[in-house]
Amino acid sequence: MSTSSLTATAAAPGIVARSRGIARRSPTFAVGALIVGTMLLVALLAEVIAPYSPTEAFSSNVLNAPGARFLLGTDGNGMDVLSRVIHGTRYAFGIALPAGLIMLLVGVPLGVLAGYKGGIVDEVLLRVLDVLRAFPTIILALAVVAAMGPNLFNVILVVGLLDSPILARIVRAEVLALREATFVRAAIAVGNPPWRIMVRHILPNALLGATAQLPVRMAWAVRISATLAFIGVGVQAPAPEWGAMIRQGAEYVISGEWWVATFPGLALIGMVLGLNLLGDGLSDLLDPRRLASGR
Amino acid sequence: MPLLTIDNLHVHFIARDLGDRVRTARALNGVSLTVDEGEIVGLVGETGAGKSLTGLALLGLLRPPAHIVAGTITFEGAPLDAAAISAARGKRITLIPQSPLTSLDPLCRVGDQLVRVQREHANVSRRAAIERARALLAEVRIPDPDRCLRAWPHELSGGMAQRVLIAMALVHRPRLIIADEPTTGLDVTVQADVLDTLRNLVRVHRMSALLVTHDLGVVAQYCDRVAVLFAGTSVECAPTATLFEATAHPYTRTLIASTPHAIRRQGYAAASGTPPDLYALPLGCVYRERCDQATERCAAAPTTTALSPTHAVQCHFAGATP
Amino acid sequence: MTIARFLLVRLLVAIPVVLGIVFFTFMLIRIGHQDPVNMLAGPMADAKMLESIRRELDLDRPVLDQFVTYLGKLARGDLGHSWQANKPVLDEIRAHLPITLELVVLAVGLGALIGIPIGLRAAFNPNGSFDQLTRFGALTGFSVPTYWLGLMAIFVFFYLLRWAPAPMGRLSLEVIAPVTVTGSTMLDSLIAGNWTALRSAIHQLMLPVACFTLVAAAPIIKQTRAIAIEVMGSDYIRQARANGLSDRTLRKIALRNALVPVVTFLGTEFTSLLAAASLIEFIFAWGGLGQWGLNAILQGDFAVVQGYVLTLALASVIVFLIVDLAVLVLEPRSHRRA
Repeated sequence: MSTSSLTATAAAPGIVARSRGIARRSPTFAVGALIVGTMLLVALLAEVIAPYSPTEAFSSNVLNAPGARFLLGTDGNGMDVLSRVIHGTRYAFGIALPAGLIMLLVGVPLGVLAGYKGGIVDEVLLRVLDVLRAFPTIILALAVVAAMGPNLFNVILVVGLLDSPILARIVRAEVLALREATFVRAAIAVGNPPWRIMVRHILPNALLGATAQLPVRMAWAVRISATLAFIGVGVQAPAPEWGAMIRQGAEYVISGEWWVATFPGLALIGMVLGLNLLGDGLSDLLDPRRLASGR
Repeated sequence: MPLLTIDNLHVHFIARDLGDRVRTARALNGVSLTVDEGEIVGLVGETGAGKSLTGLALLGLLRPPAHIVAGTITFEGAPLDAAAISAARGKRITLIPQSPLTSLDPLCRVGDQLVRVQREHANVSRRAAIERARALLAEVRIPDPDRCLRAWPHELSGGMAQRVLIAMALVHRPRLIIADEPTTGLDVTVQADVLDTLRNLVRVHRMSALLVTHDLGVVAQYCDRVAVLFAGTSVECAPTATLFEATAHPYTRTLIASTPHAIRRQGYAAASGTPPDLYALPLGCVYRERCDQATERCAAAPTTTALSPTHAVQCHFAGATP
Repeated sequence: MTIARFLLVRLLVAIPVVLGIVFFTFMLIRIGHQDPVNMLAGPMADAKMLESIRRELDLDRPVLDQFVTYLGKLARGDLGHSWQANKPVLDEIRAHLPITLELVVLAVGLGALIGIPIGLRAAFNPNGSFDQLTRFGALTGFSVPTYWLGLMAIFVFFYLLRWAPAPMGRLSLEVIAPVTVTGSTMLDSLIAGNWTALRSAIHQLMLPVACFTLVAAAPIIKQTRAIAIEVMGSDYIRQARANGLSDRTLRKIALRNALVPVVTFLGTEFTSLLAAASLIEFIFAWGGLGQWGLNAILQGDFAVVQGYVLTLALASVIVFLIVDLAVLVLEPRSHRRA
């Protein structure tokens, strides 16, 4: 007699119910996803949305205040701020996504190796982490990019590599915990080879922790690359990168032309905030301690 | 009139999952028991039965997502609502926790903690409080009270820490002590010691105690009456002797049969089954899926049958031995 | 373990880390694609001049050799020479460090003063409205770039409102600087009894410190809140409540238990702010260590860069040491190892 459940076994919830559930469970994730999603859309449709080309210089309209023709004003070269801010999203994603990829490709295997095998790899990783902790990342990034030459590729490389050990450390912690887990021991006892255990059992769980951190790391990447550009070491004008734009705008703030620096800054804040919210919300959602449905 | 009456207590854990469905774990489903003056009542059951939860609910220490959804608690003749429990906590009802070593403030010496509990609601001089603290520590049979007063919590062993907590529970001479599995993690010899100390103190000061445990042996030795819990329901309540000699509920029988000496005496008897899923409890009797006596009658929830003024059981076949 | 032995052990552990940092920076500059010699010599130099400069600076020897020589000089207190300013690096550090310290100490102090109570209050009612607001505020604080905040502050408070002075350094141009005793303009004015200078110094400090404090407060709020929540959920708090202690007392207990992790965190914050100060200094023309180091990196004044990095690394080691000492004092559990 099939009676058992008081609570009816519901059919798998639809997308709408799922989204509503997620939004209720973690409004931070929802807001973050909204922001980042919108920016991504803007980046993809930049050519279409932007009223002008980002590098088109209107020499008779230098330093125009925001108005009807140039909604966010023009900068010192006569370029439209709005179009440049819009195209800036491409730079932001163009740095965040590849850097994130590098972090995953380098950080995760490193963390898994260090956690599972231990030994030399682990030792080296821990020492490197110690060095990084004592050394402010921004200075490191600055020094490296300055030495290697200020271009987009170097920035992405450096930023991605710099954050990899942090991701590796998180993954390593997960792996260390999982290594002792019963189900792994069972798998070993049954005779699974080490690599198989790593890939099939440990990796998915470790990846979960890393994925939750990734948006936050990417936010950091965007922030650092903008700072580098601001200092003058990263991407340079006339490229419509937000940091470079703020650098240019800095000269004009004292004389009252605020729009050149303000809007790229706002866009930057939005992007970093969105990614941070996304990451925070993601780790909320993925937190196994939540009283959630059985998986 | 009993000191404490818990009547039909229901506690649910309510949360929403990813699909935005409301998921409810029905942790307590009708717990009823009484504690009279001067008696030690055992609350026994397997893991997840809701024993500790009952004690916490009683003390108003439940945190969301746990909520009391039904039932009444009466203490000293008056309903125990939020205001009442706030006033009674630590003074008329106290708790001896399950993990003594993590239950003491790590940054405060033992003596200072005992003093703090005294001076919280009474205008006692520090000197008098320390004297009292020393006396209490001696009462719980700590060998060197002065040294213990100066000790930091991390310097204590499990047994010592537990005694300190007992001492703290006795400060205001409570009417009722709730001992939540007070011997978890302690050595066997230390366990007996702590329980002996507890029982003596309860007798001497004419207090009552609700002793939460999973060990029927402890119940047999220390409790005057017993309430048996399964899946958050009190399935049988009786004086200790009656419980062992005239067992009325199938689950109690299985519990008794699975205690070590019983196993030896009656040959191998297995207590089978896994703890029930509190999210999906069966309709009717909560025990029916593990019960070997279950019939179609069990699809309806059994009412409480009073086999005698002191022996209550929730089973359709109450009293009838197979 | 006595205090002395503890210090010794920590120092020993720290040395390889510091060496690692210095080595890394050293290699970086030498291997990087900018050739410092060209910049030193100027556009008129011919090959012979370049060669002689190179030899003078030991740049013609293998890199490892250079590093060893550098270490030797370090041991004797010779950090090299800034070709930009034509002064020994050590002197430059001595001049600039207190200026940055003034900024960072103020920011961390004020940030903690504001941030810790906010974080605690948010933790006492998790997911309540105050908490949600706080979390959002802290996140925003994380997302705002320091330099941009500085620029906006300058625009609003200097250009628009004329409340703040022009961002042209630590003292208004008309004021005569006090004699350098500590290096901190504020303290030096105080010591000299020069009230005009003191007023001007504080006036100039307001905006950079305000911006910097906001940036410092965000992580402090977030971390304090997390720590406090963990403490509030602990067994001993629950037992204390069961023992009848009032909410007020519970909060005091929670506060003391949260103190140690928070203090440890403040140490980390200090070190990262030390580096972040460079951006504030850049915007406000502050003339501190950060600005000096930043310019050096941009211009390839490598002795300065090494000196700057070394200073930062040593500073963080010292700060961590101080924090560890504080923990040793505050935490009875650490006495176990004694």
